[in-house]
Amino acid sequence: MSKWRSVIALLLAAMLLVAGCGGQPGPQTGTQPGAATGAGSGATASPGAPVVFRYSISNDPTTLDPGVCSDGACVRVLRHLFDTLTIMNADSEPAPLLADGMPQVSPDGTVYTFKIVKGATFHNGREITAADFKYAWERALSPDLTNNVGGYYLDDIIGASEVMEGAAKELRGVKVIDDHTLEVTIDGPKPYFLAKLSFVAAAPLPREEVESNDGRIDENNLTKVASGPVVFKEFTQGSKLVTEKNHAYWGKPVAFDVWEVPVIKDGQSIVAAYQSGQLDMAEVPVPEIPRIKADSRLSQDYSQYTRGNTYYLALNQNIVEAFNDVRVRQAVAMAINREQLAEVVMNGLVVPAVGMLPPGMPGYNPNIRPQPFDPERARQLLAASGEDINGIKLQFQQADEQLKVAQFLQNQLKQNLGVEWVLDGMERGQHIANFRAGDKTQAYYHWWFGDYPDPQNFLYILVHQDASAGQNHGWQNAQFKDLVDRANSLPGGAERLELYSQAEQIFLDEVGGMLPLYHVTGHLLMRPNVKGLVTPLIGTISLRDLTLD
Amino acid sequence: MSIQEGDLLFSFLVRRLLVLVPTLLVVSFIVFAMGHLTPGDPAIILAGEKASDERLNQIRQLYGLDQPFLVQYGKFLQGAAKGTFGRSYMYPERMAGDMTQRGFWVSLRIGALAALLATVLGVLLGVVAAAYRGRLLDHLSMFFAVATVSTPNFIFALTFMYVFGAWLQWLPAIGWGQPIHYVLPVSVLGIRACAFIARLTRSAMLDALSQDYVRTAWAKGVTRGVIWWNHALRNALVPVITVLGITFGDLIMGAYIIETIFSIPGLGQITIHAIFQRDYPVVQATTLLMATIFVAVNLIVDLLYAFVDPRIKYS
Repeated sequence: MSKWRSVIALLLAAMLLVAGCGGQPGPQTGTQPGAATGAGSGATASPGAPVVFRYSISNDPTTLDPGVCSDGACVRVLRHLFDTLTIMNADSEPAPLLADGMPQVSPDGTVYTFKIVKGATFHNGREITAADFKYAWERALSPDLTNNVGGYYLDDIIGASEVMEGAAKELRGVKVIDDHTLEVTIDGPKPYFLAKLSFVAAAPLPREEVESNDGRIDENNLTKVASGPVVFKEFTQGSKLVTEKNHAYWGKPVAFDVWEVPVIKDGQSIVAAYQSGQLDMAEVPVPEIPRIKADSRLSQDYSQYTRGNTYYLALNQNIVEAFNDVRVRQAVAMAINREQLAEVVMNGLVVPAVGMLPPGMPGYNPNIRPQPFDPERARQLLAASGEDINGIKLQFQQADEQLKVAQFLQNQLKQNLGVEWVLDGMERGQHIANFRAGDKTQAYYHWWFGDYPDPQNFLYILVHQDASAGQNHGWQNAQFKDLVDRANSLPGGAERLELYSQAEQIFLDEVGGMLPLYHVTGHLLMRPNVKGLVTPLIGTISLRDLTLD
Repeated sequence: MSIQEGDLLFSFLVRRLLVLVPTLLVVSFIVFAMGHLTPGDPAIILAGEKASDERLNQIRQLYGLDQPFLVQYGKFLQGAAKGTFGRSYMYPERMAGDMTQRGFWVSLRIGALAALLATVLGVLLGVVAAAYRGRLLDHLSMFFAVATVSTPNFIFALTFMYVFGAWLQWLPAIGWGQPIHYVLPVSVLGIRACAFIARLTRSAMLDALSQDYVRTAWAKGVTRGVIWWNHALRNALVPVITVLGITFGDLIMGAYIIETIFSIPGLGQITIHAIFQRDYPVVQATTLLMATIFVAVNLIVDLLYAFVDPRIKYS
């Protein structure tokens, strides 16, 4: 009896001990006033208490280094930790931020002279100078970093490819004229260049702080190297990230003292956390929207915003001989009812695609003529071609939503064209590696989120035969190529957009390797007192101009 | 416990701990090999889907992913021996071993509290049900047990979250860092294990109560309390402890869904995130830790038997 008792007592004691004092005092225990995550809205805290704004992210940021960051979670956070020369405004146009006014541009559109604002400092207190941009860009392009995000945004600068290949350390196209003047030469007139400079990969960095941390940017030096209106405080993987207002910020201060960024991966948890008062704003995944719309209180806080992306079906002419016949591609296009896909399969929460360019994008032409939905004509075209496209493997990234779309496509082709395609869902990394290879994937369903608001980012990068974005489909068309090349060479203006639009029409007429299906929008839950949110078409939600009444 | 028994126990422990080494070696090899056999290129995950082929090759070099399998495995073993497991691919400022450890303490605390809750409540319910066999209390507690065991964890998690978090707003729906954040996840995790233990305790109790020695005890005039608590329950606990061992391992490591729903920085979340990001060092560290826990829990269970059931000897 007594032995038995002592065992129980021991067990209890051990468990309590474990529960009580396990773990380490570390970033996982929030101690600042805002850490209290009980009920009640923090953004409307009592007078005197710090104003806490809670806006969640739906995954752990995969990095805290602006030179590496490309996923949605880290961009959302780093966008506010780091300042850049320009920033996308509410009209989705680049506006000056660290640039003191818009830069002077040479008549040929290739030399940009930036004046840099005086008095702007890194979080270590040192003033930001022109040399800090040059250093950061060379770092972002260098092969020493895991990810070449820098490559997407800075590759127009003369000498960028040499730095990326490791052949040069110095970026030839960037000249530091003086502490507050930066001259940047790019390889052609590119009206979207200023928009590209708004991405966090282009943020200036203090060399001394980065190099003393083995060239890395991480929790150890993030509080010193950053430059934006909020300061990094802590990050607990799987739980939350916390930032605080930068009281030494040179520009417009943010409207809150603390920005808590809970990491909430589950859609239902996001909505529950919002309902419980633990969030002031949240981006909500699509499956939760019907429930939100049906809820009288939640529906009042719900809104949508436009985002620059296109989901498409790609037909690989490299390995499927039949796809080289334009009639076959047209038949496939005419057999798929995009309206029904958007309205029924996607619950009306996506916008059916007309062309390759998403609505809101410069050059977007609502009058462009896509292939009509016409099953009868589709069957005629396929019959006329004499090709057999049964058994084509439709590759997609295995996930609930993607599966739904892939099944819809399969079903449409069967019903309207009488052909049987095989679904080939796979893990993301494998899917991407396959379609990039160019000779492994017969047809695939994927998407493209624009990197900068310009038709070039879709019609050249994604469709043009010379572009190496990796969306290999093998389609070539001399007229399309000529139009896009001419548009690319112009410094801007209406003519340029018109040329892209003509090219886009050819692409649609020919079903050039890919068939645009739909564009997704962003879904927000937001307290009525939150105003001034900026949701640019491309890029990230900005809390910088937020007001909390 | 006699001196001889103590010696036996000690040599038993030593033998079991020695077996641990080859077990973990095999596990480590399997884990390492599986990481390499599963589809998906860590370089693409690291560099992003728009990265150029040259860049992908550079990254493979940077992380030694281009080296022969056995060379990579050797490096991994070195890191494992040091307990660091190398730097995380994703968060290079963190050692995979440290990340795993952080997550483990969180999961251990939740798991231990849930196990405690489940044991105390479950045994109590089971005993009550056995005592009131065939009566209303028995039916009620067994109805609760069956209903609970047949409901998946996430249903409880979401229901509790809605009722206590979103609707009544008594408790935070999500979050971590304060004692109040334990309440929902521990209850959710504990409730199912509790139901399971209750059912088991009930049948084990009924079984024990029908044994000859209990009848003898009654005949000797031993009081009801002593028979129940001292004779029957103690014997009934052997199967309960076995189950508790397995459950405890599950509670610590199988809590991924609960951790995700409640945004808890536990071992499950860290592991799954690492798997999706192909963060091999972290995946390897967490998997090895899990294997160690399972072996350790089993060992503890074996030791506990001796305290509960004197017939069991270590030989």
